[in-house]
Amino acid sequence: MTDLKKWSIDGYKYAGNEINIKTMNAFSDVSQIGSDEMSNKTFCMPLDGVKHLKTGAKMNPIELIQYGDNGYSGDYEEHFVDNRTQTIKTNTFTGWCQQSQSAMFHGMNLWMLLEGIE
Amino acid sequence: MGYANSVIQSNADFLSKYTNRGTLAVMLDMPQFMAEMGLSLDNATAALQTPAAADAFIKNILHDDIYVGGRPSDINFMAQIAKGTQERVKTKEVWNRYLTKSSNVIFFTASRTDTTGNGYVWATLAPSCHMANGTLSAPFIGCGIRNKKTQENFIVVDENKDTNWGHEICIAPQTDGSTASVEKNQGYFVSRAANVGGVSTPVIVNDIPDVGWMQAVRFATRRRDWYVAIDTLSGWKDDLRFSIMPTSDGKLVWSWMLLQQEEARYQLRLVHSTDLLSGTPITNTDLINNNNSIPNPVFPNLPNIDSLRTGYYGMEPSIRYGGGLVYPYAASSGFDFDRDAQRIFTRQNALMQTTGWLFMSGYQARLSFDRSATKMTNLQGPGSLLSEMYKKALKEILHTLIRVPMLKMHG
Repeated sequence: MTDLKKWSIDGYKYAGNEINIKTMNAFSDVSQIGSDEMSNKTFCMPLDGVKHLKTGAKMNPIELIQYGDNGYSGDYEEHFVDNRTQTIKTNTFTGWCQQSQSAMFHGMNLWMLLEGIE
Repeated sequence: MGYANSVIQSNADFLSKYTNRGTLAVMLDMPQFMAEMGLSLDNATAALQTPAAADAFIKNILHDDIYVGGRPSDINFMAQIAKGTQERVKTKEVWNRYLTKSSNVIFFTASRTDTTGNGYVWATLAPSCHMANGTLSAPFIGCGIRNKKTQENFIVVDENKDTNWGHEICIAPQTDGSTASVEKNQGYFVSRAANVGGVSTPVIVNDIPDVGWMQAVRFATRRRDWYVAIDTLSGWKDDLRFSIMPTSDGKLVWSWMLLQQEEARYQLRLVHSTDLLSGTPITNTDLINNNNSIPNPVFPNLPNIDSLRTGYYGMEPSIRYGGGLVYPYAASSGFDFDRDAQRIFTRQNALMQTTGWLFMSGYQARLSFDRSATKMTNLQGPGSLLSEMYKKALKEILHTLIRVPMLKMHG
């Protein structure tokens, strides 16, 4: 199974241009980020045009990065605290999770945003 | 049934109706079954905050828990687009160096015409024609600008680049007798080499540099806390619940992770995805505090956000304000490949860098693509399956067309 098929992407060719369409369910999810506006938007990511200068290798126009130092900072961390066993000795559970993240978007002049205006 | 609209009953009324194990008739007779009441018993009235009331409420629940959560949202949608890879770096700030060709076309914020007869006019460049935080722009004294519609040429005779994102240039017409004027929404080509005489002198260039630009990327560190009290007094709210997992046959069962813990993970992941989609960095200095030993001086209750964890530009702001093409179309008629796609591909064709895109669409946009794409028959990749469907559909239509007259003949 190709990656394209796995991600339920349909491919077309129009006037020599390759168009791969992926429906983003999250854009139509009313309870989360989706709304009428998001549902009518299309983000077009270029498949070409971003290259590493020295190696000439094609680069992904989105790069995700995460700050991480020996697993103690920046990486995903999660803690469960049973306060019955802590100094405060209360009948409560607490917890937290944390993670750093950043992203780089390359070649913005090749990206397109098609938006349906009501 | 919203909590705000629901009727909070008196304690006596509550106890009389809810402490009797409900038959169907009693259940139907309830004035209002307040689903959210269980969640807000400790917020309602003091009278309801008794063990009896809380117990009574739980006892009379007919179906234990009814799952109304629906299908879980796809919370990893952006990481998926980036092929799921996340590079781990040890620095808190990342820099990129970009090499590119800057545009030689400028636009102006407003039309300007020399009405004084001085032979020149000042005009302000559109913000999009600047770079390096608005400090640089293409024109310089001595260069030429050309109206792309009329081929009228002007020479830049003076400049004022003191205001970031609002550089001004003073132009004079190249042709004797012409009037100095510029039009709004009209592209002007900048000749970025000056006219000089036989004994040429240096031309001071205050131009966009040819090497490109650098960009700093900072991190967003997101944290989500949770808390649950093991306190039966407040009833269902603090009843320890566990996260819901689907089994292999599709049933939903409780797992051994606390619901609150799972929700924290879910919200953290979702926020990282929405940051990637549409986040912008924090630049409001009131929100930033680099001294971890004191609270934020302006907002003491705010968690400390230091200047290296201010976040980054997500996909949509990067496209919208970072040089991407924003193409609006009427949602009612939808995106049309002939009418709309030709225009955007013509623009992309001029850049000559890519001929392929991944279109990430919302559902409504996708429907309009499908409607419009039916006229495209030159398919490729997994979409080629569609051409088989077209053939099949066509065959069925032909059968129907042929069969009907035949039936008539036989009938």
